[in-house]
Amino acid sequence: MTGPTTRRSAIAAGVAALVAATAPRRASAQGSTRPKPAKSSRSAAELERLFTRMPASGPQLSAADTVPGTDNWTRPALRLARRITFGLTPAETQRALRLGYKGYLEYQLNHAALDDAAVETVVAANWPRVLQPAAQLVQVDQGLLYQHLTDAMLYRQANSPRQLYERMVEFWNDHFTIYFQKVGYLQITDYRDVLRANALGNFGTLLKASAHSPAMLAYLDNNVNRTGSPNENYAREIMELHSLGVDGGYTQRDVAELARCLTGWTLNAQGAFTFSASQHDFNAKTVLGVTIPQRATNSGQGQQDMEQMLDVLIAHPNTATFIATKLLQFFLRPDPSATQVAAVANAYTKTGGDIKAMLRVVFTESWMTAAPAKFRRPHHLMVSALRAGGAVISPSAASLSTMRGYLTQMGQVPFDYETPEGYSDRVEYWSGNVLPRWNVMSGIASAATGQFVVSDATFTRFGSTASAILDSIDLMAFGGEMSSRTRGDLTTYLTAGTINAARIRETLALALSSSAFNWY
Amino acid sequence: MTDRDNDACGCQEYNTLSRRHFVMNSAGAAVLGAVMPDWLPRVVLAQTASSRDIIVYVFMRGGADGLSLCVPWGDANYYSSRATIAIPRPDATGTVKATALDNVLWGLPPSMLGLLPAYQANQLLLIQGAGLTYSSRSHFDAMRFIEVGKAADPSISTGWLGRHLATVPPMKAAATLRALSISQGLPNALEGAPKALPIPDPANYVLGGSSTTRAARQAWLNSEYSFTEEPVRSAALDATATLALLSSLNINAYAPSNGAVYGNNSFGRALRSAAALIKADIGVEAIQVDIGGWDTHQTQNPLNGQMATLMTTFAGAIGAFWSDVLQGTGNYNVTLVAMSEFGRNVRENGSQGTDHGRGSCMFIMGKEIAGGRVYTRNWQPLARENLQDSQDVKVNVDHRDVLAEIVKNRLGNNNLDLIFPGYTPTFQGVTR
Repeated sequence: MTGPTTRRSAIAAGVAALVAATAPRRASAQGSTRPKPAKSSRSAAELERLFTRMPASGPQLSAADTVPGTDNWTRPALRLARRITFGLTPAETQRALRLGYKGYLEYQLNHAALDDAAVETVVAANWPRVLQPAAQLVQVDQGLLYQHLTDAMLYRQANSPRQLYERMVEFWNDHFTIYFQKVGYLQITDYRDVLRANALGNFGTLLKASAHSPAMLAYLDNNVNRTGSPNENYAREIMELHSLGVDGGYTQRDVAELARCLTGWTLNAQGAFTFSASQHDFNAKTVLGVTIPQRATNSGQGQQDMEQMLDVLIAHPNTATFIATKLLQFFLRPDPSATQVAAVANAYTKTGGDIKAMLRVVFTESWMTAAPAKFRRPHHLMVSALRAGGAVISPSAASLSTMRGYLTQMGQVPFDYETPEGYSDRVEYWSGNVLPRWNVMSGIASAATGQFVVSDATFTRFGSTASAILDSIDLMAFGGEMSSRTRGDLTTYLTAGTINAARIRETLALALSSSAFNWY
Repeated sequence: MTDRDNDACGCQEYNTLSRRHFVMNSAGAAVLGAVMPDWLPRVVLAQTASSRDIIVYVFMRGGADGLSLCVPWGDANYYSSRATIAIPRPDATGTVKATALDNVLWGLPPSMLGLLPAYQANQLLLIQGAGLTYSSRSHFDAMRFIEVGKAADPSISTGWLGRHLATVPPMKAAATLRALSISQGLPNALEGAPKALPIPDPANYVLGGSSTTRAARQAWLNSEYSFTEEPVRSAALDATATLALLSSLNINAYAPSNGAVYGNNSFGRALRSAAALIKADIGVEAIQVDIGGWDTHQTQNPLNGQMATLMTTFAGAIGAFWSDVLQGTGNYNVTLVAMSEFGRNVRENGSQGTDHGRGSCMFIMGKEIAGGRVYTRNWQPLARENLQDSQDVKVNVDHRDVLAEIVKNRLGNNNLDLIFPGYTPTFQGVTR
């Protein structure tokens, strides 16, 4: 397997030139005949009062956003809130503005203090399989397990107050991706006991948990990695994708030697980790310059080879750099500077891999306000739209098959990415499949009944005039920062016919389909 | 349209081509207006005279067992290696057996007889022992390396078909859609292609919601996205243009020619849609269709089980495509290529299946394909000593030799060094 940068990254220079020559030109506002924005019935000042303690005037933000409709993103706390949540809600917007940038960051970082009992009660009642140990799941129908795993995840992302925590679970779920169709029930325990348990904890603890995870060992074929017939798959990926990075300074010989350290790391029939001494290669190894001594086959020490190497990988400076880079790319910008990477890596090194410490650096306010808008991946788009619409997910429905269908249409089926680099986070990967995104936005905005419901009352909280409805959509989808152009275009659509429930919902669908919502 | 159309190519061939198409379109409209088939209500039929073929690229995902697809009935090693899953010789007693493709060695399994008419018309070529020369038994690596067009080179992410389309002028200057995959996402082979979209079901590619307001919402989105960032802007505008284009066709009412029956399964429907799009003559020049399910580790049963069903689907749809699009005097220039990422072990495993192997069988179909034969190179009997790693059909024909010959001779693109970088292909006489 090759690495994350190998799948769809750079292209050969000659070809790049040719492809570039045929690529469309950048959008230009020249010749624009955009309609004049309609006047809001509410002044900006009035809107601000809706959000209580709005800062009188924010700092000057960079002109980083060339995405149309984002020109009015003036409040740093909302920039942060868009990035660290699965989408704004009126309540979350209000909270972020009340707490301010740093206050809101700390609020979300201190996830254990956020009461998620209501959400967990629904999860336990409807998708109890996600709470059960592997031994209880081994005989259960895989389709049912997949439904519980996916639906519980979606419900938590849409409803949990622990938004940054859920975003970090999403991040690690790509970083330590596993293919459900290959490992089945084991992924339930991995998602819970590895990813969720450590999402905002310590990276070293997380990496070790993953290395001992039966799902990961099965996914990357370490369960057939035996002395005399080594399988290098996991040995390669733990360095290339999980710790050092593809340019992390290891060689093919290091891969082969690490594979020998990993021989015998497997799982038993009950889906539990086990070290099989009879499958382990007890001869001496050298990995990344570290010598592992030959051990007696009856020493009981065979498992130590890899335990020792895990500590080496965790302490390696290239791991700090690699994790820092990925966090910055996920949360801040696709092209973090060397200074930014070094600062986050330094937090890793100083704290021994504390994830919160790294995030505090990633979310440096001046970096965030200068960061370009980011294109939402389909999964994020869907959950954000549900949150914007205040969609009430019906716990009694028990099955969120409509949402799973939406993710299939948009091409980001959960736990279904086959190869170990995980779903791409690059706009180029996702940009081709636009129509399903629009259709899913339309489906969510029109959900008056069913597995989730966007209620009519949502739209009329400020009244039922066109302007009041636009204010409501502004608050739902844009945190009160809808650009005048988006507002004008939406007003044109809303007022082009009789304003009724259908037209209002269509207007919301267009708002959710707009550039300003598809970037965040 | 936008200024994008003028970016594609400034070369002479482009201008000649576009002028010719313009003329043909105008003339075609006058002549054919009265006899327009009703599934093409609003599209002008132009009998394009381009010498370039449209390519239909079928990827058989999972590692298809070439020895079941193209049966070496003349080789006793085949029968000794496959105690429970061999296809009986053509001269065996009973009715479930291979149909000979030649006098000595090769045959089609009973589930694949849908391909026989194309083969007998000398328009279907089977290439046995073909594939990826780079040694990989990983599905994902092998698929990626084949689709990218070069093995194990992390610096290349675009696909060979994508680079072909990026380095050749469009068949139709104003084409809205030059390439599509009939799938949820764009496959690796088509990455980098201009005006390429994944369209899971071309017969139902519509903006959701009320049909009354659909046009207005589509116009709103088109306007909204004409201002946005690349590459989303292009993809969105391609999508809205394609919405208009496909809604002007009525693919659901498409009536195949020559009584062709595609089969009511996803692969059959995909090839049927491909045929409709080709006949609509809208400038589509590459269509990729996937057919999965070939990873037959257990109870493979190519006679009347799992693999037989899949082969019936595969051969039935491709045979129908031949009847519909290529048979007779129709003027549709199409080359179809079907291939898998690798074949399977010669010897069956302990669960009446086969594990990942190397060489498999490619299928090439077209009027200008040197068909009616099973092509091999240095083929040897399937004795253990002749096998790759003592277990597999050797890859004696590099898939790039086959594809490069098609790209140059049928798709009219000489930029083989860009399409298959770092490789000098040896043509195998695939085209006439």
